Amino acid sequence: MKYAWLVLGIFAARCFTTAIAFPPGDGDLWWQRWLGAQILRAHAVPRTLGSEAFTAPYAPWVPQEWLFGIAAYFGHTGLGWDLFAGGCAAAAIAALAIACGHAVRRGASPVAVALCSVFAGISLLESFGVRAQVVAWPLLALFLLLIDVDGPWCYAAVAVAALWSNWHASAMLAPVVAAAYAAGSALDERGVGVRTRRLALVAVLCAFGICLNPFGWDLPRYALSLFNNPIKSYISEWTVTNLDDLSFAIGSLPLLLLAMVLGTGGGADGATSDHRWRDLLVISAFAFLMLSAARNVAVFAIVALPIVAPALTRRVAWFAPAPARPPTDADRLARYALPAFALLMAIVVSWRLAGQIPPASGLANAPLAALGKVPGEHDIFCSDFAWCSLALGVPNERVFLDGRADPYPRDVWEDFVSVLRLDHDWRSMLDRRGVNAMVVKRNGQVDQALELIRGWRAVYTDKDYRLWLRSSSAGRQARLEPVERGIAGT
Amino acid sequence: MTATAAEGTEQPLVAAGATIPEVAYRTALAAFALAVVAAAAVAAPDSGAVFLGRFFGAAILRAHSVPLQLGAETFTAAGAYDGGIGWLGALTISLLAAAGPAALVFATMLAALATFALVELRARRAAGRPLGLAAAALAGLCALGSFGVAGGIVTAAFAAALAYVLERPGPRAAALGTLIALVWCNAAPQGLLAPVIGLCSVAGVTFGAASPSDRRWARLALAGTVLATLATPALLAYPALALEGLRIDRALAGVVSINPIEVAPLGYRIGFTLVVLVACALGIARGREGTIPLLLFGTLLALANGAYVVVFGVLVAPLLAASAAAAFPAFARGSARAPRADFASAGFAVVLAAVVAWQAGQRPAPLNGGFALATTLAADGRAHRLYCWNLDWCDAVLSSSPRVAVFMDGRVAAYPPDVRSAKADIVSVKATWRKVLNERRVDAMLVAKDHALAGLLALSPEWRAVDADDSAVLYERTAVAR
Repeated sequence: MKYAWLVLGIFAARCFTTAIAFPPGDGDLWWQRWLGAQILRAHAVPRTLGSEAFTAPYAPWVPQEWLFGIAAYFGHTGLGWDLFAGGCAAAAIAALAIACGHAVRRGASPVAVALCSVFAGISLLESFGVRAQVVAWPLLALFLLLIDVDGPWCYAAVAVAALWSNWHASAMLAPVVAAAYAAGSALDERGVGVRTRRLALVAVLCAFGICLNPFGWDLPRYALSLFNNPIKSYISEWTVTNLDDLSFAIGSLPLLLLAMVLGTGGGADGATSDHRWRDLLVISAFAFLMLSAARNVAVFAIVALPIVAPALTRRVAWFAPAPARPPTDADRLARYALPAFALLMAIVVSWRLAGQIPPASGLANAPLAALGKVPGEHDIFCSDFAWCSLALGVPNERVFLDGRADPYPRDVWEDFVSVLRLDHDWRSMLDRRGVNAMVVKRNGQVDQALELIRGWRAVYTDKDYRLWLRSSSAGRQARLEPVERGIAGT
Repeated sequence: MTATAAEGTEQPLVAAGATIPEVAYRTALAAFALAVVAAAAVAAPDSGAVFLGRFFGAAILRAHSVPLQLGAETFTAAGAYDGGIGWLGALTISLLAAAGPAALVFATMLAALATFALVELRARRAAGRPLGLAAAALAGLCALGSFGVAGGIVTAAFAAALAYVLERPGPRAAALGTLIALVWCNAAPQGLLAPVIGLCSVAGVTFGAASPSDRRWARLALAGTVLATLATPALLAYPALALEGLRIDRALAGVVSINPIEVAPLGYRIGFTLVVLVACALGIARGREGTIPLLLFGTLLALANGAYVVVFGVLVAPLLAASAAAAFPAFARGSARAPRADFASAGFAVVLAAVVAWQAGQRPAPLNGGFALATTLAADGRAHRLYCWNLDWCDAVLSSSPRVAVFMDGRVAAYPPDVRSAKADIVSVKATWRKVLNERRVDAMLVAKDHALAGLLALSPEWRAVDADDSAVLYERTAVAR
């Protein structure tokens, strides 16, 4: 682990910088803060969308990131922001550190761990941000570490799964991974031994553990529904991984290639590994997930590091651990000075950044602020649905679709995409839905189309965005009927 | 347990442990051949590359020489040097197309059968026949969506042949490898992959326990494949032009589809993923570390452009068969051979292909999507300057009408960067798209129906839709339409 500390320090500095000084531009944080405020005000977690979503008022919602939303609310500005954003950075580094420690525990040499941690660290970078899934990373790493323990500590994984389910729906992976581990253990032991029975029990307990949250069974049900949810094709994070994703190309892909070359499931290396089937089942599942969606690149790296680094140590002589000998001054320096240096680097970076006002970037703050000055009620369509998150909770403003994304019904998504694609009925759809304000990317296809048609006027323009309003009240009249019918029907 | 061999003698197929009856093996082989033939029979016939091949081949036959520049068929890059890349492949497609649809289908089937036979033979060397067949099946899954003369199966056939030949270095391998590379380089830009496969072979013998003689022959074979890249009409320009023609440059993603999930969704989701998972399970067997470069090269190539997922399967599946043989020796066969039965199997597959191809040729599939609109436009008797959202559609126009000039066709590598970037700008509906179309005096647009560009054209007074089908719309400038 001695070299890995240095790697961790470098990534820590990078993550703290990104998190504190460059907050995310995808709008999620805005609706999560709004969610946190709602929870604190009502002392309950909302289970439906509100009237702020005019296309789907009172549609069922599982706000899986409720705990993160509360944290986001408290971490809005000043020291709160530093602690909150810094906490997300710390979570990412903790995930990396736990995975490194797991690899060491499984016999990986310091050099192998350092190399794999570099790849894993790179894998985290593109997905990293002040986001709920980042908080889930260390919980995944800890879960994997605990189920790998051959003893009663294994049961602590259930508590981790329960905690995990309150931060993010990816906790659904916990019972699946535990079950895969149990099956792998049975194959490794060539029978159902003590370890297999214990892991099977952990898998069952985890299935219940992930229901220990405000949503109960609805959380795993929601997570399962995502597998076949068509809205994934409209969200960039769910696009199939490709080489344009740098975290994949120079992070997870090298780890995957190492796994392919070294083999984890027993091949030629199986004789020296007592984890062959467990490792194979787990890494196969996560490799499949990674190749299926870009958002899984980071979790694959967290899973692969403790599997690939020991295999590298076993198979490649250059990575073999040095023979045991009394520690020298250099060893002591490496053992204590490197972690100290890593910690110092992270503290210095955090200290330098603390107190900075997070700049807003990549979000349509300005056009939405301009809209706020226009009297009347506005039903807004944003060409990037995440921008509309900024309008949540603003009086007299309602949104077509916002960053909460998942609870919106399929027909809303289809209408959203039909506008972006300028399908033949896109204008009638806007009329039918009663949209009377549109925030669009300047010179994007929707902006160009609005310039060509009558009935809309641009009231705000900057270098990135344009705000369009209906030039007559016709749209307003058209809006009332379907929306009111929708409310009455729920 | 023993099995009855084709010769009628009792012949164990498996050295120890579990045995697989010969009849079961032969049945599986026949079923696999049937599946390959069926897949090739239903492969899309209207690939743009087939149209382009026909056009280019006809031009060669007309001029009795290989044109080295783009002609007046394109109004954006007439005179641009393309080195006659792929002339031999184009000529072959042109001749096959002239012989009728059944000939093209039959050629596709033969290419597919040859590819998987070579994969099986290569895997069989290290892992025996059952695992050899498994390797061929694995490679077959990677080929899903790549059947068709221009669907990558020919590239896979060349790659399989070269990998098979170069695996065992020697004078015959060096000569044959050079010959294969020579034909490949003249047939397609993908011939540039030949020296890379040669380099992987050299790496294999260098890191492995090969004799000095083997190393020398492997290096000679590499030299032969490198020299073959210079023996095309493009001469010294071939490597640079072919590198562009491989379409692995990420900058091309805005012009043509290159990501695996777009190019070969089935092959990627099923075949590629399965091979990766099997590789994670088995790794590279001890003593065969020399094959690691080939594994890495195949994987990166497939990820760089989905058209090469099939090449990945062909190159990597036999390596995994060897690893499986090392991990599960019970499934690996010793030295039992049945050449007569092998020839009989090959004969069966070829006859089957001929029969199915003849049947498929009787009822050629109608053109679909934008291809039908493209041929309609070509047949209207007027001159046009056409922009195609999908380059394959423009390839179809080239071979149908000399009066229609295109903005860009499938020979992307030959087009200057400014034309490529203009094409990308139009596809992404950047603010300048109208200006580009006006400057280039485009008067016809063939656009995907569900693309925003179609919606914008529908709103533009200077354009009007003149025809449409289930997937594309044809627009003409209003002056032209009137």
